[in-house]
Amino acid sequence: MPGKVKVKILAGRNLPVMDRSSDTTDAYVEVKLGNTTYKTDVCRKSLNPQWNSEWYRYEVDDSELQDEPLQIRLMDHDTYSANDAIGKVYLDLNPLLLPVSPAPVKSSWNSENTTTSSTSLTGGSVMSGWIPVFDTMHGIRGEVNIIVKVELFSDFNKFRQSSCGVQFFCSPVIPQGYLAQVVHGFVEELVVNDDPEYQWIDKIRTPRASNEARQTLFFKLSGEVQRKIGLKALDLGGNAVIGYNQCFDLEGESGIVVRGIGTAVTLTKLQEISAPATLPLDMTAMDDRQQQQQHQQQYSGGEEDRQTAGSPQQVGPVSAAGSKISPSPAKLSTLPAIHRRSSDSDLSITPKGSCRKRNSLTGSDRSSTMGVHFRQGPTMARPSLNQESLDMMEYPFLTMSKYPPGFILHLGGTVSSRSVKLLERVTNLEEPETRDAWWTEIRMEVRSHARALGCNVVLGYSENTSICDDVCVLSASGTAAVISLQFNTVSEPDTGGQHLVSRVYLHNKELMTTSLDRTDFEREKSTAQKGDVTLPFVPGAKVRHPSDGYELESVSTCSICHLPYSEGSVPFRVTMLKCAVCRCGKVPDFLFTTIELPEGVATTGKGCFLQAYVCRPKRDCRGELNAKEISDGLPFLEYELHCLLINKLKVKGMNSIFGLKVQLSIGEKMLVGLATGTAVFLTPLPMPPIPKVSAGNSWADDKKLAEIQKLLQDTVKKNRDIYQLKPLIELEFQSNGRVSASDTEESDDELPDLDLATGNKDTCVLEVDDAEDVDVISLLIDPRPPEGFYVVNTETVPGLDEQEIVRNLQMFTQVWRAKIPAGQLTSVFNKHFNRLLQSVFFKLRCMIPCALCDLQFGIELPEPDELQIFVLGMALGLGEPGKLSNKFKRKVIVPSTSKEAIRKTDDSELIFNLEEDHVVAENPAIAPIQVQLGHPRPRSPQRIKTPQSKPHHTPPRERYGVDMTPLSYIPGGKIERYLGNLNFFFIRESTCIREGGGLSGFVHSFVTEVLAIVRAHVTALGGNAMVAYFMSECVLYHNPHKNQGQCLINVGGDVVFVSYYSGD
Amino acid sequence: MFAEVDVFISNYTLVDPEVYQLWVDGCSSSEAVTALNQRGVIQQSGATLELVASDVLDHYRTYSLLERLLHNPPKLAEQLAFQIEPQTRRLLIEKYYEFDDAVIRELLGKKLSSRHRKDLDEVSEKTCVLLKSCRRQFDNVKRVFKVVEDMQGSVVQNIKTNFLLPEELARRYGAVVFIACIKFETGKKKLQYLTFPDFYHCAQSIMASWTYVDKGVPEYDDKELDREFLLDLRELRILLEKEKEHKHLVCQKLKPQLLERSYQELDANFRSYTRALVGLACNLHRSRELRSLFLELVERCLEPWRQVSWSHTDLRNFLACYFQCALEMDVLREADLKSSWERYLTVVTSCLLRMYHT
Repeated sequence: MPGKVKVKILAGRNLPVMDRSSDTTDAYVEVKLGNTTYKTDVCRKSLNPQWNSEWYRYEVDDSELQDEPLQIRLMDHDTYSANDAIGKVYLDLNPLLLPVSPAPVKSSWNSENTTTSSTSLTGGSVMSGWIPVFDTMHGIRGEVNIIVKVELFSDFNKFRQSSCGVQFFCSPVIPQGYLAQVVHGFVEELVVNDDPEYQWIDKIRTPRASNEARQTLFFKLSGEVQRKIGLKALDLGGNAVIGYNQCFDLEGESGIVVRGIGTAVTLTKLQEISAPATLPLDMTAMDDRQQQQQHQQQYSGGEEDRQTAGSPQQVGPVSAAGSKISPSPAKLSTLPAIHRRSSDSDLSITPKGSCRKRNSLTGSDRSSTMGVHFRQGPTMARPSLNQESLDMMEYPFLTMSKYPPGFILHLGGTVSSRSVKLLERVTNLEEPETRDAWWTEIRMEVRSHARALGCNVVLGYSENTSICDDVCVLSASGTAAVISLQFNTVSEPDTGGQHLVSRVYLHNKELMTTSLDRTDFEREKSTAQKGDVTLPFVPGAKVRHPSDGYELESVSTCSICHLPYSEGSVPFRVTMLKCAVCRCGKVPDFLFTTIELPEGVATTGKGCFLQAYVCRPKRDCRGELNAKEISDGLPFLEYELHCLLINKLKVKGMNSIFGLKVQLSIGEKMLVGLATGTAVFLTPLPMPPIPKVSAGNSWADDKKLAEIQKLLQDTVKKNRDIYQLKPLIELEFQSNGRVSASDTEESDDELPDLDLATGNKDTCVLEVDDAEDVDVISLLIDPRPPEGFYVVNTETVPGLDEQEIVRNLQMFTQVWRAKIPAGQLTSVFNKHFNRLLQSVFFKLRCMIPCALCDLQFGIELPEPDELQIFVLGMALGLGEPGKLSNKFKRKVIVPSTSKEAIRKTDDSELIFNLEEDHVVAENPAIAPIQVQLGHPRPRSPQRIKTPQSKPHHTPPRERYGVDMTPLSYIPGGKIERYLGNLNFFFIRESTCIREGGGLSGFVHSFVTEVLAIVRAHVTALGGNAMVAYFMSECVLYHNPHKNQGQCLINVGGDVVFVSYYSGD
Repeated sequence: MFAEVDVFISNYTLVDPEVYQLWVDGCSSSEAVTALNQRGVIQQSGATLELVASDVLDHYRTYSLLERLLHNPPKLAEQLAFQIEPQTRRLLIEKYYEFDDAVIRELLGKKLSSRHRKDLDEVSEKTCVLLKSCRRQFDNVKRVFKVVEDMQGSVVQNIKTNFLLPEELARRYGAVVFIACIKFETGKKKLQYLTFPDFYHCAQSIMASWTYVDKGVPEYDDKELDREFLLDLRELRILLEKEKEHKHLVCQKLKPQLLERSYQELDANFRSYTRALVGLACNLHRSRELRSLFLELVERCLEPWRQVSWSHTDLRNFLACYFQCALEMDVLREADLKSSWERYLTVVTSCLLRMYHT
């Protein structure tokens, strides 16, 4: 129940001068946790005070440990007047509550920023080092050196309030080095509170006091949400939450809402030996069953070892093989939940159409069922609240964006739901229930959309809000999919060993994938030092894969794209076509998803970044009228956005979007929607037609029309060229002359077919009525990134073969804000959007070849005529794929001489063999398209390239300081340990904006400071990198008349320790 | 359309050497954009002028945030606000502390007070270096001087450890600090023709052999001249008494190397030359004489030679011979005196040769 916290304040440095007369500071420190405060002695007249305090001890309840941040405040002692605050440090104790991982790896990263003492002490429940002291009015003011230790007594109380030890991962993947034993499902929580900024007391207190009150409250609420979600995860029998996403809704007068969603899982740490040298993402796409069998035999012994070996590492109720050994009382209570959750019969329930207004306009593309849900005014919570909360358990939502191969069987498409709500100040007690009910409605709708598509889960699920005054738009979206039933059955927490069969099945399934990595790993090891223990496994695995795997393999490259429902079962018109790979499955003409490109899916050419932006003016009104105005405008906005996306996709010559994010922002006079995604050409899907331009009645200039059409055609052609989207025929010619005439004809037939199917008044034909329409068409054509840049918003660049992501270069944040002149909003935005990207290209021009991954955009309308965009992204260095493996491949690829083939199958000899076998053995009806499998190459030490004349990057041997990345992996490095997640909400205010370099200078220094603080916390926790870094909020208020500005930033991510492969 | 906010921040601080140089040189952001434009950045990268401007502003903001830290380079490594890779950090420091010879020449011998800082616009005008850059150089010199002034040990070593400067740059600062410590007269009109490299050369050779550096005693440093040596130099007066003998030896040796006209001239003026050189040595223990060392060298030695238009070779031959012949004389038999003579004249020779611009 209780935990002990010990804090020692060692020293400060670079403190500001607080006493102007003597140019020094008399500093002391107040340490606060909960309601207990300790003070150090005053260190007189020093800007680098040495306190070397005693250990301050706190005995606190563990739920308090989770909720309360440790607050360290530096003060300047004044004999005559009130003591002045220098600044504060907030320490989140949650990372210190995690089970201690044994034998911390020797830290070789030791940067100059840390004292030697900090490195020797790091690991587990100790945090030490220099942390910047932050003041909301002045920014960083010096640093303080502290040591914090936490001793936690395990609590097995059934009714406990805490969830210590449940590990949270912002990374939307199964963490590296872990095995997801059981996926329990969706967990969510929200808490509501008054915003201190809007309390009456704010009228009489200083801005600093108000900002600090907010920061403290945000910290506490964030801790509380996380604790409660942890409890839910424990209830489900999980020991970790992955894909954790937390948001702060600043509702203004009506308070703040902190929401968290995530996926509860049971994770086990892979044994050191079996820890893959590569990411779990690197699992090669293979089939399932047969290999599982083999591996079952091979590893059944090893698995036992792992489990027994693994369990002592874990503490308390979160023990690794928890379901077997753990005495967790929570287990028992999960039983009913299982039954509720396993109600697969739900799948057949047809969605209730009553509460939904389907947007029929999107009918032509079934993949984005944008059901729009409108509510005018506040809705009443339904009386049957109990029923509701029971249903909560039933959301088949997963928040991860990347899944192990074989997990997803079919992709249905994006499902989303929105709701417009009027915020009203309700009494505090009722409020969370109102918000809960709002989200429940939306989630139910998303769920029913997914079911309508014949899907059993929603993947890559996310929730967002946009608030303007008292109107709030809630959105939820995800990708409907059918996941493998094996996964489904085992995803139910089985108590004891009843379901042993399925359990083992799962383990082996997982192990199979990791074992492949091990193969790589081992192989490299064996070259370096012979005689590894597990070496005998390797040849077996190698030999067996090609022979057994191909048959199912060939299916899995396209079956994921096959429609999970039949044409008649959906209540809207769908274009269904034959799968271009296997010629038997039905595929859609376009596919939109919110997840990463699954591994093993057949793609052609490269992927590229795609964005669509729509801006709709709206009347400026208040309250309920405003809500109505917005909800009336939303369907049009969504439709336009959708059309734009489809058309842009066609111009790119591609047929699917991954990582689709749609953002809404409501301003006083505008509604703005921004969709971003990564366009990919999925081989099973048909080639998209070139958009046709047709003249409207009033448009008679044929010449002009022809010009436009030509322009479009040229662009599409060029794009196809650049992204290597070879039409089927060409490809077949290239694949060693194995051209089957029938296939060629078929594909020829299909193209016009398509046109007929979609060629009505819908998105395929662009009608030109006046000059404005011409402009709109020109907007479809985005400038391409300069040579050497590859831009996507997914974690890897699909289809990037001649080069490989070898290292991290730079994480960058860009904030842009400007006045938007009224009228021609969309074109102006487009210009600036492209300008934003171009400025990134310009900044990083000396880093080519370079991939920009995981581009995240935040768009806001802070003032009626102002637009603010922030961009967060990661620049990754590209290098040549490993020479060694290339040679290896060339030996294997005897029959195929085409360069194309070599490039496309350059993954590992293993895959290639599969391919070859598949091509030869499969029936000839299947077009022998050289299909590239969309999985990243293992980032292994072997892949160190030799210098070439062409510019390229080499994998890092080590990395200076703290690497921050929005991605969930570190190229060229291996995540050794996850050290907890951080989530900070910073507020910075200034009353001398002009003097500090204007608003730009203000934002610039603030973002710099935020990064510095996060890095310091990472270092203090013993980490050397942060993955899954996010910036979910960047609010900027500006009052030029008062020369005052305020900025709020919410950032966070997973603290990790990464080791880099030492190249030889 | 004017962007109110347009910032780009990266995890590792990005430094563009070109833009940084422009900033260090004191260009305003718009001047920097123009300069970059002229160098063809736009043509190379295909960017618009606006992009370049926004990039320059980003860099300028970063640099101005960094400037405070650059004043204390060891802090730059320790600070957490900016994550700067070591090679970038070296570049930042090195360029920031780089100085223009012309500007430093103007600052030599001036008191580094804020009063002088205000007069920098004259310096700027004279040297065609932007005022901002002059101020930076002034502040750098002042800062380095303040830190190192009272420190013991090798001045160059102290500068290297306290400002993390590379050897060569630290030496240059060392010379400036040395000249400032001894308060050498450098500003007189007659000395105006001397450049900073001239003074740097002279200061280096003086520091190398006239200071306490050789003694290997830790409490003495190379900013102070060896008092005992200066006092010992008085003994060289004896050479003036034996002037005839000295002259005879020198003339004999130089005769084959000199033109007849030069030889005649030397024969006639030897007395005044040797009086100047030896007289200077005898008086160096007086700090006033020491301070005006360079002035004396110019007035009493270089000017007469210049008047009779000696060539650089003539001067070198003369000084070498003058030095050698004295050693051959009986009066310098004494080892102490001999070494004083060597120690004195090698430095003076080196200085004179450097200062004799023809």
